[in-house]
Amino acid sequence: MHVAKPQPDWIEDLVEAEGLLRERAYTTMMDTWHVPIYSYLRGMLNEHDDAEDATQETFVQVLRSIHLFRGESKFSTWLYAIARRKGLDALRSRKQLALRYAHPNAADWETRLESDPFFDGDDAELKLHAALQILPARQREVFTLRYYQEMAYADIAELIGTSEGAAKASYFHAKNKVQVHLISSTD
Amino acid sequence: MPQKNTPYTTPEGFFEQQQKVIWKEASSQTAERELEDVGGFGRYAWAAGIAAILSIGLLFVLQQTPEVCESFACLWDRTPVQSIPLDDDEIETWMDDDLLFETVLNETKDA
Repeated sequence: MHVAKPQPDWIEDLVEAEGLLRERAYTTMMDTWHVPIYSYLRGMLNEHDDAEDATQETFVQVLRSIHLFRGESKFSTWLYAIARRKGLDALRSRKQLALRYAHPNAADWETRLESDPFFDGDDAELKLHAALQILPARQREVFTLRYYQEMAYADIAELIGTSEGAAKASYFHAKNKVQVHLISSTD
Repeated sequence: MPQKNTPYTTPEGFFEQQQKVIWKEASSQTAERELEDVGGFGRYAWAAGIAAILSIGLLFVLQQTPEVCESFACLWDRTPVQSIPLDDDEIETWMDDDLLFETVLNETKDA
């Protein structure tokens, strides 16, 4: 038997209301989730344009499907599951294929990030993000969700369809690889 | 949800602009769905319209003689954006293993 989880107040208005009330609920949702979802997708895809498209598709899908949301999981888990699907679709794109192919190591990513007009990190952040890009995609995803989004392991596990232990292991491996890269790059 | 700041930035006014675009797009799709719900003659008119468009499209496709690609660049240009030949299970596997992705890359390159 499924138990309904506590949900944000505005969901009911987004499903049931019309006109200004529904638009206000939409604004509240976006105020809370627009930046986190964009950040999640940007971490996954690296490119602003790709993250922009995937973010837009995510929220259009949310608005079209919100009446199907049954409250059996947290709204955030449902939302991230949609974003993840859009992100995976984008990862299959020709552009992402070419991007990964052209940047096989961290030094290539550092050069790319340095010239990215929408990357504003210092030297340490540059090295961290370059190291993240060469992680296996699952480890990169778990690291981003845990480190930047500060998501609980249980929620990460539910989102990516694995156990909490496996999510912790992925984060641990990712963190170790990143640390090794950062230490070796400062030698 | 709490989150750390990332060094990624966006064009000025990006989030405000995108919020409007999303609302507009989702609203227009809702309006289209409502039109699809029209009963009686309206329903048949839509079906007839779609059938006519499909017929014209099929005729157009049948009349085309596609050129044969003789170079990788040509194949690359013709490849649709959602193109990597991975199904859902394979991409989940790839998420754990970049070797599979490299294999796909090499296969694509050699094509």
